[in-house]
Amino acid sequence: MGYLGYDPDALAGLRARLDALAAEAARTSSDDPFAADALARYHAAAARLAGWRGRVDGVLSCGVDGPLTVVDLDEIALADVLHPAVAGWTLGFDRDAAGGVHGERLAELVLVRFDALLKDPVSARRLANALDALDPLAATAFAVALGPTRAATLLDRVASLTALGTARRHPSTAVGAVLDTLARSIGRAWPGVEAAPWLAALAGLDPFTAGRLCRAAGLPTAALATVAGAGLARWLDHGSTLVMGQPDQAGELHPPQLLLDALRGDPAAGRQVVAAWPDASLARLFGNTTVLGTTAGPFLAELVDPRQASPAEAGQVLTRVLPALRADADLVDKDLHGWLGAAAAPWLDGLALGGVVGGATWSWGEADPVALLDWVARSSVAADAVAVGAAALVGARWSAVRVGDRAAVLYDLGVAVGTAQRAAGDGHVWVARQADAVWHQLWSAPGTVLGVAVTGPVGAVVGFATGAGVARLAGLTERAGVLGAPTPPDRVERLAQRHAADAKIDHAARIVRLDLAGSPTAGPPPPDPLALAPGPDAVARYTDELDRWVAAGGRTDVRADVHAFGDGFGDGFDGLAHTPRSID
Amino acid sequence: VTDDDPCTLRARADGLRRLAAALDASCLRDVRARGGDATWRGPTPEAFQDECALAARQLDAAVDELWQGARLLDRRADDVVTGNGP
Repeated sequence: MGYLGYDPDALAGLRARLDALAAEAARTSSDDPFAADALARYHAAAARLAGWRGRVDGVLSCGVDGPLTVVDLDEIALADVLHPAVAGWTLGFDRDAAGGVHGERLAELVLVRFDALLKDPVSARRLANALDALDPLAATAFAVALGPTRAATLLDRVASLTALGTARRHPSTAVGAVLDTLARSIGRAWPGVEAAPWLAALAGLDPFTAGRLCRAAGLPTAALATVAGAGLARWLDHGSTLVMGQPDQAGELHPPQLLLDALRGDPAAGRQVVAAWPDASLARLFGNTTVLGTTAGPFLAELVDPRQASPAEAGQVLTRVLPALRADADLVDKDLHGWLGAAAAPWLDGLALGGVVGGATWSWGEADPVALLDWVARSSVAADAVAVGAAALVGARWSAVRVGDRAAVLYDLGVAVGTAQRAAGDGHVWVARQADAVWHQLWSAPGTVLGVAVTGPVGAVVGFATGAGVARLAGLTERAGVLGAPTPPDRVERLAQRHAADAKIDHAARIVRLDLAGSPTAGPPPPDPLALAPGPDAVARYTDELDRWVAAGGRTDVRADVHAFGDGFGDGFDGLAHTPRSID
Repeated sequence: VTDDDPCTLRARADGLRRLAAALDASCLRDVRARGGDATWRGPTPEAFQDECALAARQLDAAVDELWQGARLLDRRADDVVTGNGP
């Protein structure tokens, strides 16, 4: 699709001159043989031009079905767009025109008539269509003609109309489409423009504009990281004073949500943003759940998702984010805390051992990764996530057992799993203690409330309300693994110890199964750890069974593996193996 | 009237010069001038303008050819008068 702009009066004049040319050609002749060739050339040229009369007629009559399919020419009055000095021009989009939309001309149109176009939804929609029709070459010409500074100004202007229109519940879909298509045009043009001045201009965008641009443009990773990072920083510094940084009422996302959404589409860019930010900004951004809602947690978890992130990339994020958030723990709400558990769970060896993970060195600086793991697990959801991560760790790192110093690697695995299981147990204990504190607060200080409830003038109502509160608290403590209330903290801790013993047995079972997988033994089958009755002495009982199994012809190397792992687990759980070691 | 008659040859040359002048002032040039960016813009008008440019080159060639023809006829008339002709 191309565009067509014309001055109707001038075009009518051209049409008349074509008639005159045809008439002139009809009466121009000569008998002189010397004139024959020249006249033939002239007549051919005149005939070809006169043949354009039909197409000009099509334009002049705005014929939708004519050979020149002109779309609603008179609905977009762009008098001074293509020829600013001449009033009365008409412009339309010419679907049949060859060569597509000319980027430079469209840039000229946008620069001169942008506001007028946006005021009319039909014009705005047509402009969006024209922008979408730009192929990469035309988009580059468009972007170059527009220039980065003017493009940034236009983006901010159309974004403000979109934001305000949305806030006022005006139908701003067409304007929003212009914003998105403008962004997409810049994205298509990106490989052909000089990046530095564009990045400088786009880094100054309003955060809302930057969010919409990043979401629609499909910028390459480095550019997305620069623009989104600048938008987030600007929002943090000036969010409360930005018109477009305020909540609206029609479901439009907040600027940082838009930006994080865009970065979720390119985790590599998200990791670059996180790596480049100061700690205080990270905590202020991710801790701002009032604005971010539930966006920050999934964003962080995706940045370190082992399906997308290498050990080095995950370490780059976790070694920055966890210490930063720990330093401002008050900003971390329960939901985000749970997501921290999900983020850390696949990389527990990086926290528990703190050294080299999968060949990548994790540098924690002055932070204590084990203490960070303990803190991460201080939510029921996060503690469960850490426990699940610990259960998966043996299988996930089993390949390292096959190639490394077997006993040392198994010991390290044991340390990592033991540390994680202790953190998970401690996390549950911490949560249970919080619940206990609530119980005691209710039952001690305002304990007379219950007396009031049954003896006061509105006893039934108050009693019902109090009963509902008690039921709610009971639910809280049950979820923390504690039945009944109030619960003595030592009972909770005993439960945690039992949890650890069970976990150790569970991991021993994994070791045995992984060890024997694919290598059937001729001797008796190994004892199944999970068949043991649970209890604090289960580990000792299982060790005895393993000894009997070896004596009866079982493999000593399996027993050695279980012991190496068990030693590590015990040291990790007891906090005795705090010196970072590594699993390659 | 024969091809060797100097008057006839000069009359033909005059005719070619008049025709050349007429073509040089053809509406075709006006069409080209009026079909430019001041009247319409876009891929379709550009195709028209390309057509106009080609037509103008053909017109220029036709005019040049007519002037050359006129000069040839004049030379032949001169040769007949001076007896240098064939």
